[in-house]
Amino acid sequence: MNYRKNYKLPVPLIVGFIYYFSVFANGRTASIFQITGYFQFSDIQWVMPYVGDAVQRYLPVMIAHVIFGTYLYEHFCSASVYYFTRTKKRKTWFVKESLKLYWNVLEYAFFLILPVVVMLFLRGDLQTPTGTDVFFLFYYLVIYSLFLFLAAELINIIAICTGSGAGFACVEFICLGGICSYLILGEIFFEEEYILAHPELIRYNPIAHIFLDIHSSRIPAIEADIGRLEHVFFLGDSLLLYVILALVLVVIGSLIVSKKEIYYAKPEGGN
Amino acid sequence: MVLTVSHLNKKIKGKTVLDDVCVEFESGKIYGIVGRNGSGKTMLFRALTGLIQPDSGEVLLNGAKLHKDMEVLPDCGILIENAGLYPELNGVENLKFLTKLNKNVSLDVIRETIQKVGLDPADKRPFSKYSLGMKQRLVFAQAIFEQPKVLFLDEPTNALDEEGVQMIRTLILEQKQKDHIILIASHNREDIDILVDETYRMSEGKLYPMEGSRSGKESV
Repeated sequence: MNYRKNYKLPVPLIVGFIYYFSVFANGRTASIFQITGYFQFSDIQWVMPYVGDAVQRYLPVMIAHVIFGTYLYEHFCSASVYYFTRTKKRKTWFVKESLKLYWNVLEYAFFLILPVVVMLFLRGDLQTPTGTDVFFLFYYLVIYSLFLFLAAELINIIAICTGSGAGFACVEFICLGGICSYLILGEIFFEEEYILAHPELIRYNPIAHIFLDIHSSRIPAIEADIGRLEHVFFLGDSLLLYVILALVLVVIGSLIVSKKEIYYAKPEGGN
Repeated sequence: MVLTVSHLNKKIKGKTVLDDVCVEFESGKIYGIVGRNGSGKTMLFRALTGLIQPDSGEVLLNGAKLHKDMEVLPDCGILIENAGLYPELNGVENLKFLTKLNKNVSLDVIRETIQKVGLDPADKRPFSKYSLGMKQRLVFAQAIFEQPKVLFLDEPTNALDEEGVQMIRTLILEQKQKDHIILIASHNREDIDILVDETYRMSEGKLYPMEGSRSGKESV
């Protein structure tokens, strides 16, 4: 939609600048690993006092939900009659639009970190990128965009079924609930060793898969930078899980959309 | 071209909205459908275009079956009462956006059609800022600008001033001259009297032919 083009790039750039000034403008050097790690909740400990820090890092995600949470749903609002009488194959339409949505959130993830990287570079405080930095940059772009896509796609699908308010509330409940349950692990189990010994406490938390430093890697150079949970929670596994979930959501969404009956016009602009 | 409706039934939340509707529509004619609010006129339009799936019965366009050979009725234009366009887009942008989905008609055609319905194609105001009458004109333009072979018009002259009503009636008759099938649901007795060739009455989901329905006039 045309109007989204007006703010889908400026918003992550502005948010990126805000994070540069609030987190990275302290005169210290930073690597790409540290920058991407920040947005992937690195160094968040398993105790509730970290809730403020975690929510601060979560805000760009929530902003993306606001921008892209009606990406597909908006066609089911007031103009639905005129849109879908011109859509010959709804399943194909849904898959194509989902791919466009993924591209949009990938751009969002890129433009979110761009101001931080550029400002640190101009200041001379960007550590010279190494091979692992390049790896972490690509990993961030893929996993973060997949996470944004999963959430935005889910908001849209729920909105198509019930209304946009319900979609947004449901996904924020899952994400914020996931962050809180991650943080209170320490309060419940006291011993960090217990959490480390029971990775399933984290593995089944849908948002924990973007938390970078708890992951491990089979590549020693990568493993050296991360791996708070030793060799039980691999980067590749999280990536695979998100890819599978994304495919499942696209299939479910296309089935829902193909069966969706348009028998009344929702008000202009949404629910 | 023939649009055949055969034993069409539909219930929504236990309420019968279409009850054994059987009818045939031919090209070059305007069909009027009258009936109270909630009698099923709009639902019939939605079922005929493929926006809702009937519980039983079939809709055939030249023998091709809706929901089997095609997901939606091809080459149809529709105007539904109270259904708007994209509120953030202006008139030209709305039509440009919609035509990309299907026929991709040129910008010149879009501008010309907007002018024909009495709007200014250079108007940059978004649809949400339009008056009711302007919205109705633009939605009508949306229905006809791709020259669809089948046209469904639900209360096409709603919210229009006298000049707007005359303009829309003239445009509907122009579409008829092009040998299109045109269905009009209206409460406006004058619209029915002036425009339609055959009239049907809809009541509690049933469609009845009205005796003595007049032949359509060629001028307004």
